[in-house]
Amino acid sequence: MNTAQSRGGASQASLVDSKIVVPALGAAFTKLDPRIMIRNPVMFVVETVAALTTALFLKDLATGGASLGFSFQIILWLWFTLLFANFAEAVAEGRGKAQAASLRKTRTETQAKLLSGASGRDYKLIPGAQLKVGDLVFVEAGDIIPSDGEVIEGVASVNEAAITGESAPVIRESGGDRSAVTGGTQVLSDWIRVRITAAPGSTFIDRMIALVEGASRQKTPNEIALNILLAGLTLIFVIAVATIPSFAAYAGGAIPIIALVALFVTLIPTTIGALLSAIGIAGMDRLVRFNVLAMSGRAVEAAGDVDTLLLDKTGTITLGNRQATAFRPVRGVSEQELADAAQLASLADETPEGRSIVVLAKEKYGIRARDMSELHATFVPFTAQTRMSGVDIGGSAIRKGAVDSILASVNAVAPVTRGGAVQALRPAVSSEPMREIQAIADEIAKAGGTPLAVSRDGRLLGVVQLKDIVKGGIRERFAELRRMGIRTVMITGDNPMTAAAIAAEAGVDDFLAQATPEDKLELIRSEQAQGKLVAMCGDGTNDAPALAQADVGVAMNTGTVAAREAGNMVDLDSDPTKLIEIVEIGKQLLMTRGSLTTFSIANDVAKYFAIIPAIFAGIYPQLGALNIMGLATPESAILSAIIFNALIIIALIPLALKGVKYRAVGAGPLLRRNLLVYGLGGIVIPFIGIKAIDLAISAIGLA
Amino acid sequence: MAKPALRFRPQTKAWSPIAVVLTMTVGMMALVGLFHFIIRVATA
Amino acid sequence: MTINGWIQILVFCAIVVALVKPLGWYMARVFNGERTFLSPVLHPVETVLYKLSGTSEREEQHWLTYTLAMLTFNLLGFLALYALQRIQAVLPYNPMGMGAVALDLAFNTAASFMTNTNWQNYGGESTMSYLVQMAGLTVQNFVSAATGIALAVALIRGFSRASAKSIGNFWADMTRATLYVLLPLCVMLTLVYVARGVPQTLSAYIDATTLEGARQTISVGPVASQLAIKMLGTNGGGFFNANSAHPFENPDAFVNLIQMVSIFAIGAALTNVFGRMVGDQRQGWAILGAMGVIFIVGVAVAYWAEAAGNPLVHALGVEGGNMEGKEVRFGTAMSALFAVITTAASCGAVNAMHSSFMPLGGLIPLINMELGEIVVGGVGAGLYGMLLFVVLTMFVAGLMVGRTPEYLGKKIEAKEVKMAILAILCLPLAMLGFTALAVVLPTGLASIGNPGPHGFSEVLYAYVSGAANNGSAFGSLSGNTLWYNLTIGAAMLMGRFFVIVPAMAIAGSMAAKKTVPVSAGTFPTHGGLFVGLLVGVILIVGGLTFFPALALGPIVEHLSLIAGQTFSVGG
Repeated sequence: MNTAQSRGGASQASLVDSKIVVPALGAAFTKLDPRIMIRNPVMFVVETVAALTTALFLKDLATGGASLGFSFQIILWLWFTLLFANFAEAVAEGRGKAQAASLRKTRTETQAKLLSGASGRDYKLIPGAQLKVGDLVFVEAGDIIPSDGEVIEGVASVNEAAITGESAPVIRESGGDRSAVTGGTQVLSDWIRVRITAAPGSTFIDRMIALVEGASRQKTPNEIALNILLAGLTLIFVIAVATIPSFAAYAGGAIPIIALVALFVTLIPTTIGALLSAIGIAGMDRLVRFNVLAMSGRAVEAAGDVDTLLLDKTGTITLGNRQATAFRPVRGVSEQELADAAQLASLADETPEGRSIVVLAKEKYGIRARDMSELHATFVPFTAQTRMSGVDIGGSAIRKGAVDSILASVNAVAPVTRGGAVQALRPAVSSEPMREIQAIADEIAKAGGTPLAVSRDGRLLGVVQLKDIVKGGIRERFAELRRMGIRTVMITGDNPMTAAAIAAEAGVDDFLAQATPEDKLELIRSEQAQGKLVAMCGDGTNDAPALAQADVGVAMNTGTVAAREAGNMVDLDSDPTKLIEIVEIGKQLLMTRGSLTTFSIANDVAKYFAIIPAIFAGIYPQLGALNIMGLATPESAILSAIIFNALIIIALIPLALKGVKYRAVGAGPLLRRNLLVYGLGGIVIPFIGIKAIDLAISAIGLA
Repeated sequence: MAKPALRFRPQTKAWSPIAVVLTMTVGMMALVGLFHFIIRVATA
Repeated sequence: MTINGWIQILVFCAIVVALVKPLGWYMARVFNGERTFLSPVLHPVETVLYKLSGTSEREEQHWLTYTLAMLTFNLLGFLALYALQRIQAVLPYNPMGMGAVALDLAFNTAASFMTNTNWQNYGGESTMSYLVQMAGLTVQNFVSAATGIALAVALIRGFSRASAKSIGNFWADMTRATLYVLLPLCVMLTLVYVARGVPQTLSAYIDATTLEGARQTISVGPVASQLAIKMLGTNGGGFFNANSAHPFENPDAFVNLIQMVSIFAIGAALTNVFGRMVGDQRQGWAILGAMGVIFIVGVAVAYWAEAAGNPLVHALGVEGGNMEGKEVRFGTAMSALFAVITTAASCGAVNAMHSSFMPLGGLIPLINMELGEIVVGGVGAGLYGMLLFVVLTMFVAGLMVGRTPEYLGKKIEAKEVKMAILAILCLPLAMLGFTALAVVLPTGLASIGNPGPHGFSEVLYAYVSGAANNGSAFGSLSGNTLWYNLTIGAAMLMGRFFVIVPAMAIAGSMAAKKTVPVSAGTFPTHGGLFVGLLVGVILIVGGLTFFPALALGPIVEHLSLIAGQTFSVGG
């Protein structure tokens, strides 16, 4: 995540990077091709109008028309408007292209070691590009993995820096949830046998390149709807402007075509029309910078709409492992004694739980770690049969394990190690601590912990309380999500009692305990049936159906091929908490579009007041009263409006690329704020801007 | 959850759509006639 | 402006607001098919109609079936009305022996009454027989209003249902609107009007000898019954040519108030029906609130302009407000209020001559209609017109809060935006397009009664009134010409059906959608912010388009007037 942010930070500055700006300047011209332009209806209309007026101007130039200088300036600014729009798109694409170039380097021709059989190591070298789905290849230390695939044998450490930017090697092994390998990454040690899963040209890196370059960019549903709105508004203004000549004729005047063109182009929503595709590309780009690959723009938009977030408990809400938090002895045993026994039993236990017991014993009771060999102790490892582990030391046996298995072992051990006298007393002696142990265990489970019983030589000492540690700050994140209107559901394999306690501590809205993959799928379906959009992340093959069913399924890059295929996003850092940021990026994308649309439409008020008095000045001088900005001359008024209209595009490129900031404050306050800035601002700013430009062009005598 | 589409049946009655339109047009005229009749009785 | 004037305006507003809830409650029950206190009497009548026509209230229709049913029904109504006018000479109830109505005028009138416009290029008392008035015009007055209400209810169902294939039964909705809503209220209103002296008779016109001894023909007829539906159904077609300025059609201030209230009553209450049916009455109040804001501002401007009067007249030493074309029994306040109401709703009845209003006073009715009459609006038409703007508003607003736009839990997607923009687009097309033609063609110019910008306003007003299905006229244009009969007729049809069909498509696609539950991320649509935003979008998207035309009409006229300049013939 740190890498992602630092990369993002580095590229934010690259807005003025000459490596991006220079090619973008060129692209601004090549994109004038009408075949490209037609993808953007508003700008296509501007281009048509610009071309027609240019033709008229050339005709006038030949035949000698009036006020050619004025017409020339208007036409110039029409073309500038188009170039600025193209430039915005080119800059947005340029940032992706830089990234794509570095990705391409990793795709340079690799030689693959194609295996002739499923076993053995006979291979022949072929170019990586010739690999077909199902081919088996052999990859050993130092080799670049030739294409995407699944490890079917072996284990290796792999450097995936090429795609994740993270240089620490990761383990890839056959079976389990760590079996997917990506073409272009490098095996650092050991060897693996890989079955190729991607056809040539559609590997992960290929898709990534296409994505960041914007080559595979398709318009998203909201973008299509917005385009329709903009095209509709353009049509309305066609009617509004096309009828003016005849109104003017009735009033006994004529209005030059160039003035009508200026009015038309300033009225249609060119600002948002020009920046719309840049906003979309920049949104995808922000995700990529965040090391998340969305397979479609649709998925990014859906992320903004998410109503329910399914989060796995382990690793997302809690730290990966449980930790010991307390020693709870039975009556007659001191905490010190229990801690000592528990520590001894855990010394050789390399599991995180075991280590946390040693740490707690030291922190709370000052019991230092002891050396196993010095104590002549032998470690008794955990087995599936005994379901306990422990240590045999100096003739006594210390055991720790699940409460029921320890209780069962106490019943079995007691008669053997103790004499007949003790056996007679057993019911009285052992049932009391047993009941006590049960009571403590229940209490711990209710509080969201896991109890671990400890016994020495068949005598119950007490319980170690293991607890899931909820990640720091996660509660606040969930509160933030709630303010966004997103419900969080924790998914866990724990029993309902434990799950409820952790859910309460973490502040999630709901939980699904003892969850099976089917339960997950069922939960997603039922949420969707209520019309909600669901996001989740997962990595295992088990998760694949749920990932596919979810509206936003984020697969971890470390996960299986099946999971990666099922999700519509891949998180290269494999950090499940990122779902939250993904949602924010989705919202930001939509907000930026909405805010600039509002701004663009609100701009029209000022433009009317600039141009209407100007074009009718010759017919009804009284209409000069509408010139509330006090613009110098009709020509300067029209020119100022069209210059403002063009320059505002350039001025808003940084905002389009960066996106409007999202605040988790709920829809009402958020809208109020954006309306104030982009709605009211959209009405006021052009009044100031047009007046300022008018002052400038009158000063230098352009009109 | 909102109520399911209540009592949806496609229009498959034997009557032709034209018949419906004709009857309804005449029916509405009759209603307006009824209206005038009521007024007449009431103001008589 | 006087305190008295404002008190009258506020009394009017208070009555309308007070009627919203009870009337909304009643109509919601009617259109949900629930029992009301009138059911014992009316349900059998209703059932007989369904039986006879072979439909059933239980038989629901897909939006397309619904729309087709509505279209064929309207087409038949149009043809019937056209035929009645053409052959009235040979039909009964024609005591004054009126001849066949001319072809183009009959087309214009049929289109006008079928579309709830009631633009009248004829003088009622000198053109139409009693039979045409009652079986033709009054029937269309009822069913065009009922059609509007039915469509509004169908659109409401689109929002209130989830994952549904159907949006109701047009025949049932239309019949119920007529039978349960319009008829009972009209009976009540007619009796009140008759009690206040409005004529209601089928006998011939009365010949009288005046005090000076001159002989005079006094037109009478079934006035009260037509007056009731003309207001309640926002039709506006007067029995007399002078419409509600005529003393028989609007005898006193009390009747005037009732007429104004009845114009707004159903339209305002439909917002409450909307609120009730979508399960949150605040949604209805918010929409009414947005309507109210635009309305009050309009009333204030118009009243101010009329009360302030004409500076050129003041210069002659005559003080006071502008009383030209107004009835003394109503004064400036009630004339201005009536003008704003009649154009805010698609009524079009007038109690003063809008052409004689001050330029700014005449500007408000124009703007009201150009916005598509969504301020309360025509019965039903106002609500579905407003909901189209709501769709657009929520689309932009929804994006601004970072979600796929939604309204009442329904996602607004490409299809809805397309349909809303199509519907909104057709108004400037018809209004500005036809005006642009009429003001350059000799045949259009010939009818203009005043020179200069005022003449332009006359033509603009005619097409705006037609396309908005209002029907009020800017007096001085002679509209009964082949050109105006045909083009205004076309504008009326465009303004009605090019809005209805997209609105019904939205109803269909909305009904089919799932309802997304409300969350903190959902923008609440029942507060002041929503109202302000909606008003802003209406004014900027719906209103700004007309700025150039308004600048060349009322605005330049106003600016000239305060500069002391007039436009004489030829100048």
